Amino acid sequence: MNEAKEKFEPKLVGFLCYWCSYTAADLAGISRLKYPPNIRIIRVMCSSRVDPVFIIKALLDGADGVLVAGCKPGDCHYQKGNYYARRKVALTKKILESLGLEPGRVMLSWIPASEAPKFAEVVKEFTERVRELGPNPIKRSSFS
Amino acid sequence: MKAVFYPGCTLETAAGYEESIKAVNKVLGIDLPELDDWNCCGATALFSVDKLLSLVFPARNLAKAEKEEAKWIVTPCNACYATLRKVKAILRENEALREKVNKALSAEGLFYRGSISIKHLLDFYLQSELFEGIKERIKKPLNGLRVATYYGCQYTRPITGEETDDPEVPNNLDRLLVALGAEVVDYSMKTYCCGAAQMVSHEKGCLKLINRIVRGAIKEGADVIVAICPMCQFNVELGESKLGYRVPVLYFTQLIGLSLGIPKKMLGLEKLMISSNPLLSKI
Amino acid sequence: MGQEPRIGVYICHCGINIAYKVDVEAVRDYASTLPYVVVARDYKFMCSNVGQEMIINDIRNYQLNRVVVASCSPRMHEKTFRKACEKGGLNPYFFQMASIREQVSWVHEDEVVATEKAKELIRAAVFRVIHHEPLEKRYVDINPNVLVIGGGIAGMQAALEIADAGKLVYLVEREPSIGGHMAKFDKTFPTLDCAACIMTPKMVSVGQHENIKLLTYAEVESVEGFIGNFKVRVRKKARFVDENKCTGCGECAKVCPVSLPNEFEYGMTNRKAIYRPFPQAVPNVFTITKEGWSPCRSACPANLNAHGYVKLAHEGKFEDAFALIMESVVLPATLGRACPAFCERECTRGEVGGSIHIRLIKRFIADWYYENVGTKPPFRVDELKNEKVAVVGAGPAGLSCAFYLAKEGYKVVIFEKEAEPGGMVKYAIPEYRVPKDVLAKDIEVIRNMGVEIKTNTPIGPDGLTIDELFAQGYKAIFLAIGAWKDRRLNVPGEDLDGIYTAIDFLRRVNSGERVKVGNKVAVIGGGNSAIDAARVAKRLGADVTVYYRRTRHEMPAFPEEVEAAIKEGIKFEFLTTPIGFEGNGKVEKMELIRMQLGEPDSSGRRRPVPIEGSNFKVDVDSVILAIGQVPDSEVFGKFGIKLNRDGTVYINPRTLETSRKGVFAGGDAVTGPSTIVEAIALGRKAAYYISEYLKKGSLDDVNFPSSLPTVDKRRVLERRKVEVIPRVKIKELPVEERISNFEEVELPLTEEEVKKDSGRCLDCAICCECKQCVKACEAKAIDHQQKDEIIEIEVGSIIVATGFKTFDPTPLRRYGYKKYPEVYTSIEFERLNNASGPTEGKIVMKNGKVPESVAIIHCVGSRDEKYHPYCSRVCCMYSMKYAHLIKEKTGAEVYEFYIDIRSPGKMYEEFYNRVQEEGVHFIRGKVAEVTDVAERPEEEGKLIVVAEDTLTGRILRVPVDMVILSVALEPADGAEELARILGIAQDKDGWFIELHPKLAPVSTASDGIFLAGCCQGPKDIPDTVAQASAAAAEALSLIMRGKVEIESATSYIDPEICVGCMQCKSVCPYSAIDYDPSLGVCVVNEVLCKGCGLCAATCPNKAITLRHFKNEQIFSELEGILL
Repeated sequence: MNEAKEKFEPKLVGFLCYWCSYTAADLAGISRLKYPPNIRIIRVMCSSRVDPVFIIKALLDGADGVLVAGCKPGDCHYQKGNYYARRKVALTKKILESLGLEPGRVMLSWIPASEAPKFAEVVKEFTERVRELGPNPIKRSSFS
Repeated sequence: MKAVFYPGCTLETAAGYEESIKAVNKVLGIDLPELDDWNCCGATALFSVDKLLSLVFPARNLAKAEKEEAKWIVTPCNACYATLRKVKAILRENEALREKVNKALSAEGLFYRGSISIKHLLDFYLQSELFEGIKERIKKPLNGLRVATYYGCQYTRPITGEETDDPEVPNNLDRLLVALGAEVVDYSMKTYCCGAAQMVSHEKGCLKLINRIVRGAIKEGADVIVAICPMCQFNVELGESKLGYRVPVLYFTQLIGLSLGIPKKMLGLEKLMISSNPLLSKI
Repeated sequence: MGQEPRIGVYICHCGINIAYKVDVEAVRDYASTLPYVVVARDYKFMCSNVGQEMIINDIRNYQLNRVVVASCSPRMHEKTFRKACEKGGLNPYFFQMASIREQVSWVHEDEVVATEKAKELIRAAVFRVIHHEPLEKRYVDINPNVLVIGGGIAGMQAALEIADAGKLVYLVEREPSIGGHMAKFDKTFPTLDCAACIMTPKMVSVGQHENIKLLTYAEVESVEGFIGNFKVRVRKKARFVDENKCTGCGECAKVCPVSLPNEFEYGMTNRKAIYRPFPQAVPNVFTITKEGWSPCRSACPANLNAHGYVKLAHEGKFEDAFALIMESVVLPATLGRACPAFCERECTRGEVGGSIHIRLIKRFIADWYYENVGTKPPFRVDELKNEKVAVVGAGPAGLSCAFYLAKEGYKVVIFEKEAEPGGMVKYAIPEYRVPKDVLAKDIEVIRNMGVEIKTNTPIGPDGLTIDELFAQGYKAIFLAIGAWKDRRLNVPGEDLDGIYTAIDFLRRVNSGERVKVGNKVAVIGGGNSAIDAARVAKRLGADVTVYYRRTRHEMPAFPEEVEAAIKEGIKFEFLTTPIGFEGNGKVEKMELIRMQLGEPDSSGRRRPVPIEGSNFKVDVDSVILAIGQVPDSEVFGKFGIKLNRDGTVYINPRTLETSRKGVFAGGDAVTGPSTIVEAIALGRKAAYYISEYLKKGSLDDVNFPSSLPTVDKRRVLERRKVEVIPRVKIKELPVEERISNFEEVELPLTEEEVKKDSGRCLDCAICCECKQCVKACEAKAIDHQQKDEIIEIEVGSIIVATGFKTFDPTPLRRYGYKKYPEVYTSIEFERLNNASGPTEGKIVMKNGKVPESVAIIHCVGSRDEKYHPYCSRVCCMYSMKYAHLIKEKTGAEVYEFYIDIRSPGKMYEEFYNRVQEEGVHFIRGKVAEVTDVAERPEEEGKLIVVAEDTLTGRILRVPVDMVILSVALEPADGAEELARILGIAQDKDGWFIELHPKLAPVSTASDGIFLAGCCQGPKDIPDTVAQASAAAAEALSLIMRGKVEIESATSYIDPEICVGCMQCKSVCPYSAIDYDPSLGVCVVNEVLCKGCGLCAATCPNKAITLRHFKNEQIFSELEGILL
């Protein structure tokens, strides 16, 4: 089991707001920071665009974890979209529980455009966290 | 949180350090049992004699403390403090050495795990609850007393990461003495070396070092130099009397004692080479 | 999705940036297997012309209708490739990009993993692009106005370039003058030409340019909108000087009594509270630093400006001081003696030497005025009015109200029932506290203001009624009848002879009657009148005991008074109260009972309860009952004026109106027994409302001028080092002398003492509002009431030029900054060396001597992990500039302690060589410490710089006279806040981030916002100016374009699905959604929509789609990733 865990490479989807977090991801590249390759980034204009449906769809399609990242509170390019995002993610986690999915598979993070290291950190941390949780049960069941 | 006291060899001969520690602990109701069957830490000398031995000596004390299930080993001496931390750091990094040392310790059925953390007596007193206790019990605040806080060179060295103070501009002793009501002078010689054992072999060189330590204190108009290590205190006091200065050099525990209203006898003040009377009259 | 998709996929090598981690051929082959992919290619540089041509041709040759490029980030080249598609005749939105450089090759180590990830990202892009739809291009017009933030050399340069091109520029500078740091420099490296000679003309032309709207002492508060159309709110801070009227003559500063450390000179000189940062300031106008009200002023019930008159007294301007006092209170001489001086309790000096003698200074001012000027009012009547006002009662409240009404020009008559005016002051306050002639003079001033006082004319049963007063043509009436009725004990024998009430007793004595109190006098009570009565009885030769039912702790009397009483041998019996008096006809015995303190009562003080059987008797010759007074007000009840249960007059606490129209009330009559100053305060307040009432008829939207916030004492004490100075000792009449007579106990301060003590004032509020400047200003430019002003401007682009601040080396304790006076920061030295600086450019030490040796320490706070890892770029050069100037001016030995010398730049290296040839010592090694502890004789009295010479490996001790710390450059204060407001990014050190270090060095990630100068990173003047011009060019090119394309991705609501719940409307940050009641659905206003997609995610019915970010587009991207 333990070994399995170590072999297990989770597949993560990241919904990043274009103005802050996506820019931070670019900056991480420009500064050649290294982070686990597990994440796949999908660009949205604002974290508030992330419809709970996106998150659930991602998990149903077999993602092991979903990261939603937006601007620091107060800095939202669209004034206060990130606050809505926070609420949506919070509610989505509740729904997941009822689906028997660990809320830990979803993570919300504020990553300012200038904080590339933070982006790398978040990805590292989240990858570890999901690796601990193990493969997405829905995916497992769908295989069986 | 269990702590054991590791006095180190120099404490017994230190003028009033031990007495004052005992007296203060008594008043504060601190139970700090002495480490059973402890040995010299080897200080600065042993390194140049026998590398392995210089690790085994301190490691033995650490291992014994761990055996007593102590969380902390508390020492009043900067040299011990530095040596113990040095060994901890080395053995943390170097597995091979750790095995060698443990092999040696096994002769006594001891094993060094590296779980123990090393505290200087000063930091021990600064734990919030103890520090509060001291503040509450102050009877004679040291108002009007100008003190130069002399940390010595080994206390602030960053070795294991357990250190709580700024390596360049330490502040722990300052904090303590301010709380006791003293006025801490802006003293730039805080972390300068006193020459330690070199006093024996290279007295001239050491006197130069001590000269600036004392001059610095005098320049800032300090009534007293406060030490936190037996070697420092001894060197500075002896050195300055040879140089013809008369600035009293007290242990921080003696000043805590005074502020708690403990009679000077119980603090061993009379053992000092340079009389502390002038400053006693000031308080 | 319309016709069958035909997709072209292009993988970029980006030189080797992608190719070295990603197996591009493998990726290409994989891509060609993906659905609908017609052609897949890889190429070295897709962004190159060749690459773009490749796409264009394929579109034509293969009838491609979708394009995917896998290369760098869309931030970099999305626009480029969209254009290419367009050239190929494809709608640009049929394009999707996969970022395999920033997100893959640059961040992942393992080639295999990287290649796999690249494949997935491309697959996702292909899946997504299938669902793309053509979108209309959207444009907005560019507003041709430009905002420049920061008036340093960068801001000025940019502003001038744009203004010269004929466009309007708003230049916002937060300091009172433009000029920035460069205005502080003397010479500039390496040419050594004088900064002022370049700067001053530029500043002037900025100030005079018809296309530059200069907003100094102003800050940007908020920015809304996008490129082309920004809405900016600017807060123009109150200068308290009208910029248009001020001529910059400087007369105001000459007379300003307040001086403080000059920020422009880094505290090396002082400036006045009203100031101009430097003589060449633009605009050339003055500014007042006002931080609120000093604690003394806020503490005063009448808000008397103590700070102001204390300062004036210090200047010896006693006549002006008197006038300032009379602006807020009457009876200054009386208050100078009998005021409890709440101000002194709050004085910040109290914590460092004892409060200023504010009250005694006021006393001196008043006495001085009466002696040297007389009793004419210090100001004249504004303009005479016809309305008459009646004031009932000539006590402090009545006199105050009358005086301020008279000043307004009203005809005021005071009706006083007693033989003389003054109320309680006259009849209850003993002579030894306020001599009667003093009160007389105070009242004389009020008469001279035009107030008529009718004594022996009571209002009430045996006099005029309120109605009669109105009938006589008085338009308003102020009731200030005080509180004269003594409370009674209601115990047996209370009516025996020899039992007085305090007020009655004091009144008789003060009216000159020789009251016979006998030998043993008992005073009952713990208030001020009890103490007064006791001390008076003492002076009548009696042996006096005060009996109080609570303890000394609860006594309402002022502590000072109690002290004095005890000094004079008056005894106190606490926790006892009389329960009866005995004697035939005349009182002989008093029976008391002991008390103990029980639960707190309504007043919060613990209620005394009798102890059973603790009764005891004492012999007395007379008893004085001082257990409080209440207003004698029944009669006014009859006049239809509502009263409270305790007999005080009912009023509207805001306006002081009574229940009867036109009748106001104040003083003890409404508050119960209180202090003189509180009564006076209410009097003045009443005067204000009465006057407004007479002008407007109603007081609904009238409010008494509001107070300013009180300055925090902590901040005052932190402002600069304050040494403890004890207050002047008060002289009192010796006890044995005083108790035999009614001589004034407290002796006055001498003029010297007044000036000495007032000199201890800490200027808490900085500006003390003494109004000397107003008097001195010929142009009438000063307006102490001025308020901050919000200016809204609209611009199309913004240039940020907020510059830097210098690193504060205090934390580097070992360099002794602030400890040793001869350790300077580089910017301080710039001033020291500046012809217009504190020493007129003479390089001298604080002791006036010329230094013989100077050490310059490089990299202080720079290239230091503990502070700033970066190199500040300018320090080496300016340090060498200093070395040259020091040698030139003083011939001193100069030592440069450096890590590496960085002299890249035209003529820089040459300058380095030149300085070396001039004999400056260069020592390679970071300095360990600067100390004044000498080890060798030649070090005595010097600063010793200890460092290792890393070239020789020796430890050096270099004794010098002066040390200069070449401190780092840091982002300016508030950079973070501004970044937030503008939505631009900062790097880890706080500098603003440019869009691209090479290709877009002055642009930011937010379109339409550009950077210039040090706000983007440390740089020297030439680079700064070059960058400023570049930013100006960017802004201008934007303006010339006239229009700019904006994101076409807007929201769309499907009316078939929408149920009109309006949740989208409620969340839209741009109010871009309206509800159409006729259709019962919501509709998006595409002009306002910014395409964030919040509505789409919010719509419970999924009736809203965000174009280009539709659900199915995102879903298919997901599928592509997770397949």
